[in-house]
Amino acid sequence: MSGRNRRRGVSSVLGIIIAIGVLITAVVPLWLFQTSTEMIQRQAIEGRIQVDKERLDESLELKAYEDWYMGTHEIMVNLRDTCYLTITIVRIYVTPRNSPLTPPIQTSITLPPNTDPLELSTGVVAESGVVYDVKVVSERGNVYVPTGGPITGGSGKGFPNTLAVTLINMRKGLLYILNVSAVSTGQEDPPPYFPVHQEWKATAENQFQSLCFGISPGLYRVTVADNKDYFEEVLVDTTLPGVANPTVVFDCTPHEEVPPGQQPP
Amino acid sequence: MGEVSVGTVIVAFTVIGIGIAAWALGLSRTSIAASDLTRETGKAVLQEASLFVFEDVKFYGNRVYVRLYNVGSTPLQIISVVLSTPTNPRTFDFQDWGTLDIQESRVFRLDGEREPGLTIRVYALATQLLDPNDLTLNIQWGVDDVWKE
Repeated sequence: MSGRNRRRGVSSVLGIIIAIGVLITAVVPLWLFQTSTEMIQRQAIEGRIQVDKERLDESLELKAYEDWYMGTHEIMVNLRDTCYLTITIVRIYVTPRNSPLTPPIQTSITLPPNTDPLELSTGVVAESGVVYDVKVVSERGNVYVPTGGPITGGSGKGFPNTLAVTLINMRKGLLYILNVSAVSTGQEDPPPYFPVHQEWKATAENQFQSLCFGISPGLYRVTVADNKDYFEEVLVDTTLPGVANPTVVFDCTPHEEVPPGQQPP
Repeated sequence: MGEVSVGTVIVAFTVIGIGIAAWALGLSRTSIAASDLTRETGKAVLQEASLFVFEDVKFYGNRVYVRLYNVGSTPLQIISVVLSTPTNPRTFDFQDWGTLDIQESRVFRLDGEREPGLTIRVYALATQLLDPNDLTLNIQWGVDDVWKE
């Protein structure tokens, strides 16, 4: 090979090195940068899709009512998370129509999914004749209004009937659990404080305990259990004649087991 | 070593020159493309991050009280809150109403009354600050929403 041909070969190699240099210093970093920006964009889009989906899927059951049961006439809200997401309540509005600039109540209440309803007192005492608009805002930006619409102070339901539950002969030291739920109440809403879950610990032998609930006509299930061996369930239909204001008495005396072949007392 | 011809020198310098030019051009294009990509990515990210809602609208006296809630993941600069009615249509009236931080909710007060066909338009900007000394270099994304009576 002559010297001239070798020199031609050197310039070709030099050209290739420069071309590779261009590729490495310009194209490859750009490709890497583009890949990383695409990933950032994809993450942002997926994040927003997730946010939008959660906003759509979020579901809250909201009831608002004036507290007739305890007689405080405060406006109460009953919140129940009905979706699979945890809901954080950031603001509760209880706005009287005669004072519309009343600021909302700032909160940070967290409602886990599939749990019992949470009953909250708003601290606003309903004035007779005043209309209150209630709404609740979640952290995801969803605004909920109660199913019953605005509340008019003093015109809430004073539930026409009474259901009294009495436990007698409670045994000292045992924990008694009372559950009262509405099975059906026809056209009426069940009382807002239903279902009721109440626990008592008997501190004396043969103690008794009594509790009354304002109710509308309907069918109610009342159960009492202790933490040992006692359980009773009663269905009360207050729509039947003569039982509009029923009293259910549970005798918590332990049931004695009847030996086989004998008649129960 | 043998002598080098003029032609060989010219070819060698031409190849090196073209190479350097291509390199410089490549770097320049890379820089421009990277800048474009940065801007596009920034806009896309801001677009996905910008979200506000009308939390509450109240009318009292001759005023309208609009409570906005930033539920996105970037602060929003509110630059227009405009009341518009069929008899008095309005376009965006740009002014600085302040910045609504992430998860912040604030009331904006406007002159106006409740009437049929009332529309409240809000326009907000999300900004990614790239160069505080040259605001034109920053990335911005506008979002708007409308509340109707």
